[in-house]
Amino acid sequence: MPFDPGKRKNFTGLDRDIDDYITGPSRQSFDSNFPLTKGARYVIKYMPAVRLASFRRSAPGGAGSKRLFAADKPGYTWGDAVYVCPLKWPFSSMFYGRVGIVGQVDPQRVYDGTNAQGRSYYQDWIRGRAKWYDLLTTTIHEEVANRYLRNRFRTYFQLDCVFFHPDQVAPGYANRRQEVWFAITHEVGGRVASGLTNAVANPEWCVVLCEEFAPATGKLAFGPLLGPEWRTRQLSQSTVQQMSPKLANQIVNAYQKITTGGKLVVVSI
Amino acid sequence: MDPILFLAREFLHKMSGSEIGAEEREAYRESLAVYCDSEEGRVTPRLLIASFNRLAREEYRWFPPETMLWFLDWIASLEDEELVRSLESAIFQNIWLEFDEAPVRLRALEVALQREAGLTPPQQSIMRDIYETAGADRELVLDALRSDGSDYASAVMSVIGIA
Repeated sequence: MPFDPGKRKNFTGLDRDIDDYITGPSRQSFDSNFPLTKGARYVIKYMPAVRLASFRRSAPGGAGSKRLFAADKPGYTWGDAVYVCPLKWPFSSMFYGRVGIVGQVDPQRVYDGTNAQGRSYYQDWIRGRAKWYDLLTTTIHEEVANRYLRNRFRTYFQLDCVFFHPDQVAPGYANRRQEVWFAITHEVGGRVASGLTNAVANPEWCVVLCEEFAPATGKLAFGPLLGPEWRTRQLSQSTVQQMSPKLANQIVNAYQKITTGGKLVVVSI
Repeated sequence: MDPILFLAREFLHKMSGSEIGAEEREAYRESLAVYCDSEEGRVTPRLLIASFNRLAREEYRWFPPETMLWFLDWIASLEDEELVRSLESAIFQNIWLEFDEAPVRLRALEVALQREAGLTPPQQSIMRDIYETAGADRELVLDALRSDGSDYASAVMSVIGIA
């Protein structure tokens, strides 16, 4: 989203610090950690198979590129967005569903939420949003307030992407200290919005999982059900790390075949 | 009750009800978005807005607060400005009057401001009527106007006399 601080009233102090953080450290971190691979930044989104039919019909008027849905439910880490994972970590978010959709992103204004400074800036900023902050901290409406505060922050600073460490994991499959997910903004009139979006370009269905995950305890962790029974043990983190580059490459090849007019290639994991 | 809203009530509930699982809610919301963008479904947003425009004030409570929040967010996410303009501003006042929950009231004010900017002269803003009858919730109106930060919000504050 294009950003003009001149259109913000009283854009000084903390606002200025945050904007400097966005254009400086955040951008540098993003560029160094997520360089182009084979000419693009590939990402993957896993979703339940029940949503595949909607995705396959999501091209506007049935023509053109399909589109992912920027979800708007309370509880999402950084508010309304399309949540995706860089393809270099193909296992990281696969517990969210058996269908993997691959696409490309090219965000301009990014925010590093992996960094303590970035999270601290956000926490300081929301204290100035009087009523929503009040609802967040002193009422039962914290999930709703959280969602609107996150959306407001991303709208105010016109963020195209917030990148952050996973806050839900399937142990072994995701490493919450090393891996990173993206919250990609769908924007309408300069505001963070929900709906079908082109923010993840040319999404295509490329992956089907031969695994089923279930919430282990609460909503913090998921566990695989099939693999451990088949192999008599769960995949270890080192095995997952070893398999990831080859699998990512395989998925990109499948994706490129589909996007250049080839038939549906599904990488079965 | 408007027949479309009567029939749609269950679907709206599936998209927004707090006891519906998050994945299920998202799947319903996505399916509506896909349908609204299809050839046969393109008229749906217009029909939905027309139905809400016909809703009598006492009928709003037919919907839970979560559905009203979904509706407000849906309006805020519409890309077709003409469609947004077709929504009557009285809806925001009705939501304010019928729902006492602070998140619903605050969100109604935010979306009303977003819709009015560039469309409604500040003197005709619905915020003034709401402010005058808001009682103890005047702070919500003040907060929404101050947080908005736009020139339009400043002009409305001047009209109300709280600049």
